[in-house]
Amino acid sequence: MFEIKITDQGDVVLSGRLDAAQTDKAMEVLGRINESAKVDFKELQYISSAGLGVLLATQKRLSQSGKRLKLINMSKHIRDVFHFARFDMIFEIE
Amino acid sequence: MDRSFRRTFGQLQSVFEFTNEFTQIHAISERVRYVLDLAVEELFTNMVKYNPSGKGDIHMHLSFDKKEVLVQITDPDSDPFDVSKQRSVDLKRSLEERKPGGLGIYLVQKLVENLQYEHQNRTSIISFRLPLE
Repeated sequence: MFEIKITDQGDVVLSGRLDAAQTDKAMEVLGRINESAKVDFKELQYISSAGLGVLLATQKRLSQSGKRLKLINMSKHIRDVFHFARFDMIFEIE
Repeated sequence: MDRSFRRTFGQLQSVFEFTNEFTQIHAISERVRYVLDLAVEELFTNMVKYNPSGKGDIHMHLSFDKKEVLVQITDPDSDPFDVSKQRSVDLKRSLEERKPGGLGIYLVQKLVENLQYEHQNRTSIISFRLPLE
């Protein structure tokens, strides 16, 4: 089960498992973000390359207007995936 | 344990139910389970993406000994695509130049051990091992 929502502050909260079958849902919500935002991974248990692709596309779109995503509360397993993919060079991870 | 899956992304949930059943039976750690799910998803979705109309289901075999998990994924109708071969994924490119293509197979190559590929009579067999810590 994957859930994504935007808080009143304009930040993004992810939960569950972001796999290849969930990318349309993630893209639809992330497409509404037009300002710099935090993405909270605290309740996200799993992400695959398909999920990384959605975040990459969003970061690229935001960067064109000088905005960016900051990723917070990432588990060790997910952080390892970001590290192997060198996505820790593309995103600020707190 | 063995199970077969139709060629659709909608089967991913069933794939994860299968790996979850396996990892619970053998009390496999969360870290190994993560890598198992990631590798199986990347390889399964790759087969579906590049040959959605292929004949026959994709078959998965999971086995376990005290030191490692052994995985075999079989596609009975496929063109050759050696997933064990090193491919150029330039991870040092800037944000603007980065593309997600090829990243999934690259992650599999980084995270699993003894990744092997065989292709004969249109059948692809991928196997790999996951050490238990």
